[in-house]
Amino acid sequence: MKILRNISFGQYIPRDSLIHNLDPRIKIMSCLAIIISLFLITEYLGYLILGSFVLISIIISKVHPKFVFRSLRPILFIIVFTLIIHLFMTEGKVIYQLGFLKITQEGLIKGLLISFRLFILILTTSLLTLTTSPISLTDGIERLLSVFKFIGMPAHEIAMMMTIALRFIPTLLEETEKIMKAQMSRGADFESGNIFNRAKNLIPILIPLFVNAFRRADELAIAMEAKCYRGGEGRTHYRELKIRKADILTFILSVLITIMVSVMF
Amino acid sequence: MFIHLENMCFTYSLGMPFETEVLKNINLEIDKDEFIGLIGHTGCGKTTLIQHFNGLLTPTSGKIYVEGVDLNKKGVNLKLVRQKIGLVFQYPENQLFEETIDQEVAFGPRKLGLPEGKIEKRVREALKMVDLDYSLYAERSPFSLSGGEMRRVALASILSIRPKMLILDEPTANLDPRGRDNILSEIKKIHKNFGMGVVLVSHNMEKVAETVDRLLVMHRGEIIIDGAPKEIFEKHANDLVEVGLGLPQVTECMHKLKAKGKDVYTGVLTVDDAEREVLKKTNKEINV
Amino acid sequence: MVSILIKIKNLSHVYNYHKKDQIKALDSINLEIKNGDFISIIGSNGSGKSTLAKHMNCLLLPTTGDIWVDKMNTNDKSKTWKIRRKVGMVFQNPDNQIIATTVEDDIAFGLENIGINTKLMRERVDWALEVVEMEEYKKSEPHLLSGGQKQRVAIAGAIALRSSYLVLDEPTAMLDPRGRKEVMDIVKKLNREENITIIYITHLMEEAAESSRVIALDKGKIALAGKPEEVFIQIEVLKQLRLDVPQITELALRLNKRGINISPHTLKVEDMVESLCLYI
Repeated sequence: MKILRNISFGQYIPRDSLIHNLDPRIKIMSCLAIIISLFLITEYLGYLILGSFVLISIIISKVHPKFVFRSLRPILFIIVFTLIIHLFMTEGKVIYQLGFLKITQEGLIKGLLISFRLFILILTTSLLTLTTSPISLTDGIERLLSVFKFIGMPAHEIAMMMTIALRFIPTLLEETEKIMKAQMSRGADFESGNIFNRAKNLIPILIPLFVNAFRRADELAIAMEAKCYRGGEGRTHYRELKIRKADILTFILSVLITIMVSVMF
Repeated sequence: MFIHLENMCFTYSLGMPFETEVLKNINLEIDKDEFIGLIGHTGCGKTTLIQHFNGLLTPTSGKIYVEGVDLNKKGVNLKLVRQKIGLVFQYPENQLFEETIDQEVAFGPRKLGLPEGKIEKRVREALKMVDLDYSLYAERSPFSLSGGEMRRVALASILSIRPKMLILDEPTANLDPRGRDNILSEIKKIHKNFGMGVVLVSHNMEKVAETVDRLLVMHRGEIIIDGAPKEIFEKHANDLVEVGLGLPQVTECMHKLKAKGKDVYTGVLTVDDAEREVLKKTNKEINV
Repeated sequence: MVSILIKIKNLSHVYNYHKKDQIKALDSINLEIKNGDFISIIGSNGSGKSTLAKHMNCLLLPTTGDIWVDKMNTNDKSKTWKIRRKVGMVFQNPDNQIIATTVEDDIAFGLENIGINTKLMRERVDWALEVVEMEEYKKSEPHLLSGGQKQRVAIAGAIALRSSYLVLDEPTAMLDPRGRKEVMDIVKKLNREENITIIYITHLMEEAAESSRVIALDKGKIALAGKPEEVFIQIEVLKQLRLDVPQITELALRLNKRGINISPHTLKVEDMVESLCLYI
């Protein structure tokens, strides 16, 4: 687990590209627009256009494709599983038969389309997290949510929670490793036994971890107060977000494409 | 020989981009009833080394034997090893989780599969070893205690396994002088009265040197000095300073006097030692 | 000229005041801390030193008595935030004070809280990084830093607000000797070069020896006060307070009793060596 100490958390890969330098708010909104339109598309051409848009963006981002596809790995199973379900479970014209398993033409098409949809969905979100640092992301989310402050949206609080969570993930992972080793040293076994046993065996890890996390939260709150924190009112920002020409153009482009594919196709 | 290491090396993340060689060529023999101090800076590998003693880590090359058993061999019963070698991590109070102290200290023996009657006996015994009265503490929540008490409960929870050797990683971390002295004297008592071998890992040179019989000094993954504390302070003071480990004030004083040409014994650790030596050299009456 | 001073008068603090299990942590403390001071407060666990520290920036309020920071009374709730700007604080656990995902953002946290504009913020962050000698770690993530480095970041975050006072509550308790030295060097530098008044809580003698005034607490009261050499010479009292005694000072006193005329105020090894050279 020491590996985790050496690699920065999150998927962020710093590069100097057009995409990296975009305002995070624009990126988040474009990402959302693409994802929404993914579910509104009805024609193949729509998928093609959207897919190309995403792939071109990946190329522009200068992030090596291997990182991009690495983010697909955990979902690969779901994509394949979905494909198989649709292949074998959809009614229609049978094109291939293996024993009692039937693959239908409709199933093939539907399966491929839905898998492709998932594929683009993951690629889009990965593109966002690969090209936007965690701080930028939380900043962007905070600013976007601030728009809804008038209906009581706690934008600042949400952003603060995200930042603190991101900050402490590596620390808590380290803590988990330490607790595991300590419990193993007095005979705890996390590997053998059935599912129920293994779940029960997690208690000696979870309870100390929770206690630890609560204590940290307490101390952190005091430290924050000592640094004059009293909520979101009157706070300024260390990092400025500026909308530039590239941002406006990107936004217009994304909106156009998404409207185009969802309305026209 | 209780623990035997032969040309042992350990590299973290072997074969991956961030691979780091943490331990190099460790050769070490520890007998069952020794009282050893393992000193070195953060990052010298001491915590990594002790995690090999109970099989939490396995060497990337070289051998490690515990009571003659090769820990690297397939099918080694690590649970048995962990019963023989009780490893207490730094800030052990962070591992407490049970509802009562009785259950907490019983965790280890229970995992060993001991019958209930024996378990209670072990719990009483272990709490006694750390000076906690069973009748007062058994039913309390471990989280209701002070920091120092919690640490003693954590220690008891390892002692209840009845290990043959106790390995403690920075047992005095973040304790005030009173707490530190208490726990060190408790450990010393346990070593003497229960015949448990002890390895104390620390970067607090002064206090550990006073307590142990043998000092191992580590630097950058290697054991660079191995010997009795007084001998080390007499003959290897320069090495200690070179690797950034301080000397007790009185030791430094004697060495500086020697450097000025005075014929003094430099293997002093405590104020008592220094007083005796100075009085000897100034021909004053010794009433110690 | 604004009087720059922390004044503590008959300060008492009782935990669980209205309940059965009351604990009197501080008992009528009287103390004055002047501009540019470097005072250390020593004591064993439970002596009240942490409680005293937390009064200086209104994290705790007196049960009885008063404490003024630059003529502002901590009991006056309207002054709380002004006082917190003047009195920075660094705590024991290096991890549980760092809130942001990079060093520079964490140092900026306090500045964001008080509404400083972005341009000035950047200047202050850079200045604070320079003072604690962590410029090359500006963009680092906190979990990759050593304990000493994390504490330096915490110090930077506190001084970025341009506080005149810095209270450090056992900042090196969880560090190794190298980390301790890092922190001590920076603290001394802050006092010497930036004229920041330092209130340093510790139980380590070698750290208290670096200050210009030592206050020893015992069960909520001041047991000893004075310059380090004046306090450390009181070996019996220190032992009663369950505190360490610097080896050299104890040696000096013992040799003195034996008729070897070594000054009992000897604190440093070099001074002892020089004195002993005359007798051996």
